[in-house]
Amino acid sequence: MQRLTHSPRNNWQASVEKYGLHFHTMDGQVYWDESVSYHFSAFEVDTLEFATNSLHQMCLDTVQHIIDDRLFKLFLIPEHFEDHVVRSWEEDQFSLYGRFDLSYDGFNPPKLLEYNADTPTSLLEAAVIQWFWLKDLDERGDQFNSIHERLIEAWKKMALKSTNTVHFCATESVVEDYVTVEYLRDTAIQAGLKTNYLDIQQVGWDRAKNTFVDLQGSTIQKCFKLYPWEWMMREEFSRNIPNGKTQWIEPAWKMLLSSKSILPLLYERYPDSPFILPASYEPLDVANQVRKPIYGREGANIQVIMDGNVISETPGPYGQGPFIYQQLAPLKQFDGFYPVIGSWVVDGESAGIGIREEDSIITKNTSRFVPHQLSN
Amino acid sequence: MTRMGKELSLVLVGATMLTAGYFYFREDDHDADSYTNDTNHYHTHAHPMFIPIMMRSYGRSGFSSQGNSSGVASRTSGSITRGGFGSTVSAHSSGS
Repeated sequence: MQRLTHSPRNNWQASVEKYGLHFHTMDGQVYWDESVSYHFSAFEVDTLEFATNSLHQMCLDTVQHIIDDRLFKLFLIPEHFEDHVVRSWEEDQFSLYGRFDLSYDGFNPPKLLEYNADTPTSLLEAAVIQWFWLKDLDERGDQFNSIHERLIEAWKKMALKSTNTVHFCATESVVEDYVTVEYLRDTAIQAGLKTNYLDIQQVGWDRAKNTFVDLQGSTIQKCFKLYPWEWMMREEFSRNIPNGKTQWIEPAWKMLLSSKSILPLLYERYPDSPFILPASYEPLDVANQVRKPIYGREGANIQVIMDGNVISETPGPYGQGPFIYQQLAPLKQFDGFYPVIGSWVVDGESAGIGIREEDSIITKNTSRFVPHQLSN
Repeated sequence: MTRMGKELSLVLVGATMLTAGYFYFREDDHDADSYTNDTNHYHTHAHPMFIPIMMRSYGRSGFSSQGNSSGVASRTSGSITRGGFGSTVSAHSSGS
């Protein structure tokens, strides 16, 4: 695993905008950074793929354990919502995708930092933008990336069971979310599905029909929502979800995996896994650890503790907790920067990676996305 | 192991058009709320309505003209109530 520097393509901004990446620069800072790339050997990619598939299986096993033992309080799931989570699991409701964030140095086994299982973003960058960057650079180059094809295949598989229109919801005022959802909608269209978009705030509840409806008053049968379950289940319409006919994508059981509360349970069940760091609901008896809010987002309210002292802390709205504690991953610096591997799971299988890079050990919403390629 | 070793199929020309087209509608035509796609009209490079959009750059936090904000009150029309989701929306991403 190597970090190399390059000259960006001439007019790179137009090149990435051509494929929909309009947020390549934020507040004057580059977000899509093609002045850098990471190179991986085939062995390293095999390792990442194996770790990802193993972690996903361990996660599914842990969800079953949570359901069996009804450990919903650890996830702050309201009582009235528990049975809906169980039903979504028992009915094996369709799950499209997720992204593990892994610490990896190319030598030691990848370590799970968290699983963005419900509303992962940075998808267009990983699936498409970095691929066309590579093709511009080296037509014969290769990448660990079949995300796009697998998304289409996953939708096709879903379409075999039902051809109902799939509605896509996001918060259109946030361009990153909107672009992510529109990209996914494009893959669904390519799979032959009928789709429609509406803002999450435009979703209606028809009390006469007892269904969620779109702007035309049509029943929403299937809805991909880029809107976290932990928010949905506390909002006004949450009481209608268990009774409504809508199948939500991602399904409600994925919230169990997207919460950091999964990390201590994973460690409890798989203490010897090379991919899982020690984690607990109480401070660990180790010198170096990280405190994470169980529903924190985008690196907010992360506390890094070394030798008992807080050496770094990010601001955010989740300061009241609750928190989990995870042993600090051994992060390797590459030219003074810390990469985190976003390893994508599509339809239950490893599908490729994207990399976010930061000059501190906490990856934030402003951390740069950098492309990768396979070494020759 | 499957790795991408070939060109993408429709390669997001569709997505770009789709996305750009929606930005265009949203900014200039709020009646376009009822805009519903079909599988044909995204694949055309030359549709002039997309051109101005492709030349623009957006910040991650979006468009001032949209006006979505937290705490939107629900509203009822006939038997349909809207606004029961989205009250947690902030200027930040719902993604992770």
